[in-house]
Amino acid sequence: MNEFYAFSNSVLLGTTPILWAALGCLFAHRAGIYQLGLEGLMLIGAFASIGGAIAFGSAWTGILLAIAACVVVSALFWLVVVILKANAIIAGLGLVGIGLGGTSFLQRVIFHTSGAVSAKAVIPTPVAGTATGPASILGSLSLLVYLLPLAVGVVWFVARRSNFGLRVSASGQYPFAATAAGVNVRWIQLGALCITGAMCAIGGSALSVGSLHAFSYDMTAGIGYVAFTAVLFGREAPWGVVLASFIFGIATALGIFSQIHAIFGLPLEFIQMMPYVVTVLALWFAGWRWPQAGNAAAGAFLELRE
Amino acid sequence: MVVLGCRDVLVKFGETVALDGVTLSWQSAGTVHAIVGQNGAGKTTLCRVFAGLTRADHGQVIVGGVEYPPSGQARLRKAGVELVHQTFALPPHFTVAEALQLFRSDGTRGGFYRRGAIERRWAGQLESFGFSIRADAFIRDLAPEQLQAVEITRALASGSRIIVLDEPTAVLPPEAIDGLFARLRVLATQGITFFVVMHKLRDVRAIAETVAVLAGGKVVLPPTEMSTISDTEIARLIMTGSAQSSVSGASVRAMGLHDEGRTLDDGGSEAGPLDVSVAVAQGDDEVAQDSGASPMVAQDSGASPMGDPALAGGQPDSSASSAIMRVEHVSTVTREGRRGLQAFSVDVHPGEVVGIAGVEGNGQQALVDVIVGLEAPREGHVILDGRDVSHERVAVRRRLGLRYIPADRQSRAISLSSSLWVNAMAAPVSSGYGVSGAVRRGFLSERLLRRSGEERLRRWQVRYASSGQAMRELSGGNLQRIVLAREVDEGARLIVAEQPTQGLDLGGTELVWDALRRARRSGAGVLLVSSDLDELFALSDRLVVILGGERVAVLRPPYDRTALGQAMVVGAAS
Repeated sequence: MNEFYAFSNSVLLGTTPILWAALGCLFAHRAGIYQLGLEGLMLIGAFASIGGAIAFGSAWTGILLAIAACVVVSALFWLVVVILKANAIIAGLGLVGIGLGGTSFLQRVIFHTSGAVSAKAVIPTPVAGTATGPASILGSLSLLVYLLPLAVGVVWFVARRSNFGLRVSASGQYPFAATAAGVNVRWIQLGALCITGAMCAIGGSALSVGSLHAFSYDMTAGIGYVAFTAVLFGREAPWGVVLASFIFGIATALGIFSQIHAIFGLPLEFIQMMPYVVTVLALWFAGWRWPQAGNAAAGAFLELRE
Repeated sequence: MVVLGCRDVLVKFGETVALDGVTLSWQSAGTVHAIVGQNGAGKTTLCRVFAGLTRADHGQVIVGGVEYPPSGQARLRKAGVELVHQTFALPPHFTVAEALQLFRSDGTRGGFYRRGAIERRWAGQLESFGFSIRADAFIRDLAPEQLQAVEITRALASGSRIIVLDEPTAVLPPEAIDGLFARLRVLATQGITFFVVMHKLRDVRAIAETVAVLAGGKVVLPPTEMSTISDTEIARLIMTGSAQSSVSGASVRAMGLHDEGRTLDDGGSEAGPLDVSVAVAQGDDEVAQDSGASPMVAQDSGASPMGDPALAGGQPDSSASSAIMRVEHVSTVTREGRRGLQAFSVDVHPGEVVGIAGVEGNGQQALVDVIVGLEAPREGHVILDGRDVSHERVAVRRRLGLRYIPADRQSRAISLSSSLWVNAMAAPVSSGYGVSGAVRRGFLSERLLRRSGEERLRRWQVRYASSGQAMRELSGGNLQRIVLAREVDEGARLIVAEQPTQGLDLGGTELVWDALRRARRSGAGVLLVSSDLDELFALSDRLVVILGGERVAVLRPPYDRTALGQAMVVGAAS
């Protein structure tokens, strides 16, 4: 039983950054923009929150700084993709490069190290890691995990039950209708991208100030791409994205779990490959089962290039 | 008081003048007013100017007696003139309630809504305007007339009393048009003023109380009571602005008119002014008989059906050996696994137009796809010029003389982003015919190809600035001209024309009909697939009726509309 609790704990830990980023990316997708730069945004968020936590002595201030940084970067991404009409895929990959290189550069300039930068100020963990029994499921998980149900509810409400949500999906699915309704598609897309940026910042912070209490080079290790996939696999619907993120979270947890317990005697590397295998299989499944999924974003993307 | 009007309105798009000093005014509210004119006459631009969507370069718009100069565009947009677009501005993945909510975000608290609440609210609105549409239905599941109803509801819900409908009948199946008109009439009695932009005079006659005519961006007829003007006069005014200075018999018939001299009030016993069918069913014969006496038809002697040697020679011989194309017992299965064609046979002879009549979706698409080579028959054969091409590539078929005028212009016929000459030459180059003159040292020369493309464009009188400009810059009629320039050439032996005049105005329709008639005269066979019965009657030497993928009847002129209707719906005519 204890092993089940420990495993559930790993699932929550692994799902949290994926879900924060994916919930944000949902808005970019619904607005018709492929935001492939989640990985870069999460790295910037992770770095900025550690930097802020060190500078101001508060992890919450660190997260605010991270949000601010990612919103600014997202606005620049909007400028490049929507206004200057660059290819969103290429710009997204560029954003990942900027995230990787930029955080590594600033790490050397500000902290004079290429190793890990740790902060003393962290996000509170309501249940201690020493807890036993069912409570150990939540052991040493930060408040950012507890905030997730609230975030899911708010995202669902904004995406599915608000005028802003209607405008976002009209802009993505059928810009002509949005324009006819007096909606400025570009401004809506800016808003959607900024929400994506802010939530990626929290996702990145969940990794740094929220769990490892440190920043190290490329600490996201592909979580951004997994989150992007979760949005496709979740068919751009809030609940679908939650489900997809949990599937990827479970695959991640299996990887961590296998370092401690041998699973069917399979090699460790094989188990650690699982999250990515699951990602590829999910993409294949989504493409086969719902060939039109993601078309909305692709369609608007084509339109933007015109 | 002036309900709606404009004074001296000038609108330019770059070098093109769309509206050239237009002055119009309508006085009576609670009525239906028509605005007619050819494609490119400036009707849509005028609608957009009224709704405040396009800014005039000069002049005033008058709404409810208030003048709005170009600088007052933002105020004009709130003045309550609602435009119902030709293309529906409704996102397919939305429910009806969501789509309406997108346009009218009131009734929400803090920008949030409850689904049940907006569904009830919009269901009530739809019902109050007389539309029975579920508010929780998805837009993508609605029929065109329902989409239009949602758009009209959207416009009315804003509290607007003036609604402009841009080509409302163009998107509707014929049987839905009466319903729309009935609805507009009821709403008009409640004080709503409608402005409808239309192509077909028959529709104008059916709904409008006044008509105004635009030609070449100018007003050629100010709003005039329908009862004081004849269709022939309106038709003349519409055509004055076109490149063709004369009104041909074809265009008059295209508009659903009787032959010259017969006015609406003393029309034939059953040929009421609104019932064009009878006129057209007998039209070809009647017009031909008195073609000498009718000046309008006389000018068109070349295009008049009776002027055709092929037709004058009587029915083409139906022996299979002389056919240019034979479809023999072809059966197909659609991608969804449903049955397409059912042992369908049809042959087309040189110098013959064979019409395919049927309610849409009864296998017409499969038939066209099998002939042009986009789909292989499951059973049966397609013989082109004596050769079995059932499984041959498109290029082989084109080299044998197959030509295709697709219904879906934008995805099948042309590339909007490519240049004019490329569009005119793409098929010859990719199929390898008619380009031997452009070969230099074993390679195709772009310069020579372009020259040959320009020659085609000139021959078809396409109006363009440079043959290198993109297709999207041309108007609908000009686009179809380029399709014709490519598909109706010397090498054409069999032309498959699929809804060739859909969305075209009178001038464009006349051009296409003319082209097909000329092709027939020069010995090509034409397979005409159309849902426009007037068109089928006017052009076809023979009508093959398709129902559920089966051939259920063959009709010969003189056509009987009732018999055809019965064959189309229930199969074999009695």
